[in-house]
Order: sequence, then C-alpha cells, then structure tokens
Amino acid sequence: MKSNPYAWQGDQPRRVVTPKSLSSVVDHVRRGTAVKIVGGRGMGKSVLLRQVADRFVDPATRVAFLPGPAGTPTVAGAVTDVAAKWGITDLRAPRLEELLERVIQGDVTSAVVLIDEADQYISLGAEHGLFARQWFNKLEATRKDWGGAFGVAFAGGLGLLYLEHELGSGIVSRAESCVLEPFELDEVRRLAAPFEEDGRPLSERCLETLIALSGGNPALVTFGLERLWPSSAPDAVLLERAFGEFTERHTPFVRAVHRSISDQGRLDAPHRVLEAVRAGTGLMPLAGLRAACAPRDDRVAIDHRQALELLVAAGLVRVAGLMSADPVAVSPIASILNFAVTPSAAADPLHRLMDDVCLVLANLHRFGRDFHGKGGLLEEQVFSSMIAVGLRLLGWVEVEREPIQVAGFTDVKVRVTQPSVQGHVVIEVKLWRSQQHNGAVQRQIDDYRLQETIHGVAITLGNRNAQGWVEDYEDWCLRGLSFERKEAPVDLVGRWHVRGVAANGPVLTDHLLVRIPKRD
Amino acid sequence: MLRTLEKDGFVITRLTRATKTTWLVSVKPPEHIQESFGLAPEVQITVVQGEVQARDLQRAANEVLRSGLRLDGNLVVVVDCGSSPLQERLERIPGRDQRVAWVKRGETRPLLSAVLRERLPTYDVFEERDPVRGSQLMGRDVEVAQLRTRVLRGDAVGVFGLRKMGKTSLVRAVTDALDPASGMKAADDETADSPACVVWMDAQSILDASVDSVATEMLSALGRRMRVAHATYRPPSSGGLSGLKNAVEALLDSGSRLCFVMDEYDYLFESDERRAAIPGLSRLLRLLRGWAQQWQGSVALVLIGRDPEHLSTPTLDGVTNPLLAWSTPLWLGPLRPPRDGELLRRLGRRTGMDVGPRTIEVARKWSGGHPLLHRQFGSALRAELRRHDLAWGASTEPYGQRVVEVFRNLDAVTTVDREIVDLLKKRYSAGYGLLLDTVHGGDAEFVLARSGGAEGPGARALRNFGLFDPDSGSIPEHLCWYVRTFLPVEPRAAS
Repeated sequence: MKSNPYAWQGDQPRRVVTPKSLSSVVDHVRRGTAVKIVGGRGMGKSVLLRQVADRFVDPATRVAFLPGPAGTPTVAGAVTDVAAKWGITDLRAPRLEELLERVIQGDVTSAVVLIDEADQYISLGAEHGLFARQWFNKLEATRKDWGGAFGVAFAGGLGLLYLEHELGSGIVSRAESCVLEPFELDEVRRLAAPFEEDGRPLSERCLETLIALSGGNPALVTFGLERLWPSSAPDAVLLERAFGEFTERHTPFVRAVHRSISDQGRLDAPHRVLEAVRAGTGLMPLAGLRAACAPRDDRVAIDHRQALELLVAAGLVRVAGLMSADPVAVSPIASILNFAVTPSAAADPLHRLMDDVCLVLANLHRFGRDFHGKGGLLEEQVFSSMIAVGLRLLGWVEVEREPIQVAGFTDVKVRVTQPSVQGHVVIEVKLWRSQQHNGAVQRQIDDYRLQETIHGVAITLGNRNAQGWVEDYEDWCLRGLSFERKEAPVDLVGRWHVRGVAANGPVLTDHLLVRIPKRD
Repeated sequence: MLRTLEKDGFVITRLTRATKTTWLVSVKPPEHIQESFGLAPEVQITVVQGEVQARDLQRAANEVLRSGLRLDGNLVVVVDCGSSPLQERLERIPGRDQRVAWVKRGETRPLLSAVLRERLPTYDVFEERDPVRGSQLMGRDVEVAQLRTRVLRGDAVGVFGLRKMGKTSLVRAVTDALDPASGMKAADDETADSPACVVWMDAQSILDASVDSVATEMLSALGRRMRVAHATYRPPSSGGLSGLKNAVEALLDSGSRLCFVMDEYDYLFESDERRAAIPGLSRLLRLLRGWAQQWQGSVALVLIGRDPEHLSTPTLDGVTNPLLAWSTPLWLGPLRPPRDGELLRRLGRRTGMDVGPRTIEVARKWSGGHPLLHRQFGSALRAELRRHDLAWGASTEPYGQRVVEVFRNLDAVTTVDREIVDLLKKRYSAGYGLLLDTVHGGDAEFVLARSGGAEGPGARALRNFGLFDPDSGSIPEHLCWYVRTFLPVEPRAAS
C-alpha cells in the first residue's frame, strides 16, 4: 500500500482536484479585475488561491501569495511582506506604488497579489479594523491606478461582509465574486482516484455515503478519504465511525464552520436564514427570507442574497434556481454539519432514543434531494449509515453496523446502557418498493431479536405521495398484526406501535414512515 | 501584411520602430469597417520579429495614450513569428484589452476584416467595471467638454455621482488628453508632449490621517508622473506640506500648468471611525486655493466623490472652509437618450449584434441609463445571442425582454443597488423614505407631496443621483425590483 496521499488538515493538501471556477478566477486576475473568493471553513479557498498562483508561470508576472496578515498589522508591514515574497528587502520606503515600480519594469509587466484568510485582517491592528480598511483601500486605489498591470484576489467568508458594509471597502463590493460550492460526486470520484490506482477502487455506495456525510465540503471529503486509505477493504462502515466521532474530535473545525456564517450581535442574519431553511420545506417564501434578514441587534445589515451566498459558500445549503424567485428553492445539504446536535431531554432512555431517531429522520427528510441518484433513491445502506452517524452525533456512542447474516441484510444496532434499561435496540431500514419487499419487515425484526434486544424499529423511506401512504403501509406491512397508529412526529408521514410476544415476553416495535422528497 | 491591409482598404497612418524587433503600426480602417465593427478611428498593429512579449503589449498600450486616444484603446492586433499558437499566448499575457492574433493560414494572410469579424464577438466588450479610457467612454461628450473648459480655466470642480456612474472615466478623458503621461504607469523610450501636468491622487491611499501624509502622497504622484514623462525636474519624495509647496511653486514659476485630481475625495473628510476630516486639511486646501489665485488659470482642482456636502460645510479645522465659494459641483447622472442607445448600438456592433430600438427601450427602462448597468444589460444580451450561436449582425429584438431576468440577477446589478440603498439610508434619509414610499406603492403625487414636493430634500437627493424623474415620478426599474425583492423587511417598509 502506498503512503496516504490525503491530509485533510492544513492548507496544502497533497491531493487536490481542479475546481470549475479556477479558469474564470485566473482570467479575471489577468485582466486586473479584483476577485473575491467566498468560502467557509474547509471549502478550498487556500487551495484555489494556490492553484491560481500556479497558473502564472510566465516570467512577465510576479505573484505574491499571502497566507495571512503580516506580523506587523500596518500597511507598511503588509507591503514589506509582499516585497519579501519578491525577494526585495531594501525598499527605500515600504510603499506599494514604489514596490510595483521596482518590480514592474523590463520584462516584468504585471504583478499579482493573492490574499488568503482575509477574515483575519478584520480583527488585527488598530481599533475598529483600521488596518484592514487601509490595506484593502490601498490595494483598490493601486489596482485602479495600475489598470491591468496589477491584479488582486482575496479569499474569506463572513469577514468580507464586514469589510464591505462596516468598513466601506470599495474593493470588496466591486470585486468579481467567486462563491465556492461543495464537491459533487464527479469531483469526489476524481479525488478518490488514488484508491483505484492502488487497486482498491471505492464502491459507488461508499462514495455516495462519503458525499452524504461530508456534504461535499472538500476538507471533510479529504478527511473521509484519509481515514479510508489505511484499510485494505475500504467501505462505508469505516466512514460512519470516522464521521460519527468527527464533531467531538474536531470541535475547532465545526466551530470555525459556524463562525464563518454567524457573529452574534454583529452579523447574525446568515444563521437566522439557515435556521429558517432547516425548518422549511425546501421552498422558502421571499417574505420569510427577508424577514430573517431584518435588522435586529446586528450592526451589519445584509440582504438574503448575501446571506444565502455565504451559506452556499459554507457548504450548508443548496439553492436551485434564482435567489430572487418566490419562493426560493433552498434546502440544507446532507452533511454532518447540518445534522441536529441537540439530543432529546426525555428521562426514559428508550423514549430519548426514539425521539433522537425521529430527529435524525426529520433531517433525512429535509436533506431529501441529496439522496436521489440517477436511478432514484440511493441504496438502503446509505440511509443506514446516515442514521448511524446521526445517532452518534447525538451522543449514542455504541451504535453498531454489522452484516446480520441470519437475516441477510445490514441494519443498525444501538446499545442502551442506563441503570434502568440495559440492552440493544434493532433498527431496520427499508425503501418503499413493493409488498413483497416491504411486507415482511416486522418478521425480519422479530427474526433478529436476541435475548438482549429491548426494542425494534422499522424505518421505511420513500418518495411517494403522502396521501394514502399510511393506509397502504398498514395494508402491506401491518396486516394481521396488533398495531396502534400514533401521531406522526414532525416531518414524518406516520408512526405505529406494533405489539408482539417473544420468547422472553411481550415486545414492542416502532414503525416509522418517512418521505424523502426530490424537490426538483 | 501591408499588401493585405491595402487590399482590405486599411490605410497606414503611422509606422514606428519601437525596438530592434518591434514595430507599431497605426492603421485607419475604411469607413464601412470602422462603422460596422464599432472601431475607433484608428487601430494599432504590433508586429514582432520573434515571439511577442508582455512588454510589447505594454508599449502598445502607452502608444494608445500618446495618440490622444485616436487609437482603439480596447483592441490590439498582433503579428509575430513565434512557433506556438499566437492567440493562446496572447490570452496568457495579463491585461484587459482584446488581443487579436493575425496569423497566416497556410501561405496566405487572411484579410484583417475577416479576422476581426471572427474574433471581436469572442470578447465581452460590455463587461467593464473599472474606469474606461479614450473611445470607450461614450455618451459623455457634453460633460467632457464642460469639464475640460473648467479645468483649462483653472477652476475647482467637484464631480459627483453614484459609484460606477463614470466619474473617474470622465475625468480621465480630460486628463489623458491634457497629459498622456499622467495615465501611464511605466516609462518607456518615448516621450509625450503635455500641455499640462496632471497630479492624480486617490484618497483611498492615504494611510495616516495627517495633512502631511496627503501632501506626501501628492508628491509621490507628481514624482511618478515626472519620471514617466522623462521630465528633468524631479520633486522630493517626502517633505509633507512644505515639500509639496516648494515643488509645486517651482513648477508654476517655470510656467507649468497643473491640474490636481483627488479621486474618492470623500475619504479625506471621513478619515476615521468618527468620519472626521483629516486634521489640517484646510491648510492644504488653502494652499491650493492660494495657487489658483496667484497663478490664475494655471492651477485646477478636480475632486471626485459621491457626496458634495463637504464642499458646502461652513468650517473646516475651525476656520472657513476653503472650498466654499471656490469649488462648484458637476453632477454626473445617468446616460440619457439617445446617448444611452448609441452606447449599446456601438458596442453591439463591436460584438456582431444589431441592437434594435425595442431592445434599447427595455435596457433603458431597466438600467435607468446607469452606465455600468447599461453595459451589463449589453453583456447579458451578448451572452444570450452567443447561446443561440447567431450569425454576425443578428438582431437583438427577439431577445431584449428575455434577458431582463438574467440582467436583474447579475451580481454587478445587485451590488450597485445595495450601494445606492446603503448611501441613501445613511446620508439621505428623506431620499430613502421617498424611495421606499414610491416603490411600495401609493399615489405618486401624494407620496411626492408628503416628502416635500419636487423641490423637497427627498426628491432633490434622488434627482441629483439620477434616480428620480419628477415628471413621471418614476424610479429605475432595477432599483424598484431590488427594494421589492431583496431589501430586508423594515418597519417603515412594512407599514
């Protein structure tokens, strides 16, 4: 096995794919247009900027890549930093104009400055972001003055909105915008090419699970691949474990993602929009979005287009069509970053688990579109993986996923270890297909029951019209059983309790029916 | 090459050997080609023995400025002897103008007109968000003439208007003609005769909120201009206000005519979080005013910004504001008919589109004549026609209405609208109120009367920025649409 080609942490991953936006960014920089690259944590801003730098191989252009603010938070410090990148250490005065005059002469006809982590400039230097204001104003004045001979591109997230609205930076509002978007399956497949080269190609199901768990966030995709690499038989179960522990093990990353969309008291509108989108049906009325952006205690007011762009750039939502449509087609992206993280507070552990299962299923319902492939809904095992990870994220640490050879399918087993209740709960996941496929779900659960099984859950997912589905379910799956129809949990189509008797006494099974809409 | 040009009807007007291996050839296209391709009076061809380099294109750009902008500033035709495909190499060289490779096909060189017809539509000439130069500035002849007269008279003028209305382009049109060296960044072997010396400073560049820092910035701009122009006089690079005084007076004593331009001048008056003027600014302005009086007709001042209120502030630094009763405002509004239509038609011809009257009406209604937005409409139109792969000279009429949806969702359009709303909200509350009331309906006459009438502060603010037509009571559609669609709900709007 070759050495691991993936390294998800750090700004220079060993293995990258070329994003679609690269050539457009390069073209704009060549023309002397300022470019702002908007992206949340892990969305590939630094990688893109480095790829831009690599495109300027012509000796007629000098490129300076600034990974962050200079040590001295002054314009002079920043100019000295740029000069040092160009090997100039004897500037008479640290002035950008003089530096460019020194650099752009003879065969060198243009210069490019690429600034990463623009957000970090906001909090530095003199009070109220004075350094950020001065530095970015200086860049804009110089860019305008030098025409096509001086190009600037900078990357950031929420901080760019501060620069634009609070500090009145002209370069940010005038710059050509490049909003980074999550990877799609093709890009993930390209990134996973080393597995194939190593004779261990990843299965389609593994790739689909990876994209559903990572939401296509390039850093998270790389994280998943990095974890899979050491395995001789990489599969989705490994991903479940890795992603199930992710938020706990990599809290700073998760916090950074949240910080890239919200700063309470200064700019919280994107977070409010995200909450509205998560609670919505996939079609948000304009009025709802505008209301979410209404100025409250925020110091910086933005409109819903800016808020949505920021959320897209953070890899948290997907917008289909125009942001001016009414309603706007916007839905949360399936990702561990979008899963509910507040577990049920119920005292009874079984009750708490069922609340959490319903919460995870409500998430799956809202992520609907992401679970539709070319041939319809993704495989049952992908959903099992999502449920397993969702429960782990809610604190159910003993979630197992193993092939149950007796029953011939894979399901989820959750161990409940409370003083009052000890044992495990079996969860069976099925897609709604036919009476033959779905009719025996109760029997399958019963076949699987062991001595320590304390509860069973049958989850059925589908994309059919909800009308009449409850009746059809009772007809196909519950006929002849002792069942009770319960009130459907939020975002679910139906819920039943089925009572039966096993060797060790009466047993209860929860049946849950969930719609996974396509929303296209 | 020369024979092919002749066959095509092009006339060579100038042929310069720029270096041992580079020739710059200016050619005048025949009238029908100039007209149908939307070209400037002359086009430059750069001929290189060997492979064209970025510095060759830099020389060509300087030649455009020296030509008094007779040459097309957005197009350079290149001929070279490189072995790899020339067009690909040209596209890798930084710069914002269109470069057209004129290469042989087999043994023969095709007609230049045929090459232009093929290549011109591939470049989005509408897409320009930065100040334009020379023949690219369209529909502003009256304003250019007005400003030139005032500058030559030695006046102090404030050019005001919304962002992207073309203020800098307008002033550049005047200063480039007066002093080509002021528009160049790097010196080359050529010199240019200038009837004046333009000192161009962008107030965004000021780092320290001190008047000496402003003066040093001006000295730096003056020094650069002198170097580029190969002038013998070199001002000191520092020295603050006294250094500037010495340098400027030395130039004036030697008979030079000076024009100071302060772009983004608002920053001088909003130097910090408290939006206070740079301390001591009145000393610099007094100095400028003093020069203008002492060397009458030889010193002009042009301020470029959004907000003229600083011109009329009674006091500055506790003394009388030197700009009072000296500087006069020149409001730059939207392009008005028929000049707005001419812009679309001419740039349309450049990209092979025949922009018809109905399309122009739609563009006018939606852009309100705002130059950047008008160009964005053209850009959306070009993209739509290219999507349909239409032949050169295709009419835009079937597509005008269709591109409205694309146009109003363009990033550039919402950015401009956002800035307008922000400016009105922060500085012109009466104008902001009138905007909201007008957009959210209600009887137009009543709304106007309630805001103080056609001469009230609200209508005056919107009118100055070219956002309100008092005759029709209308506001440009792009802005109405933005307010209705994107503006976050506010108590006033909700009520």
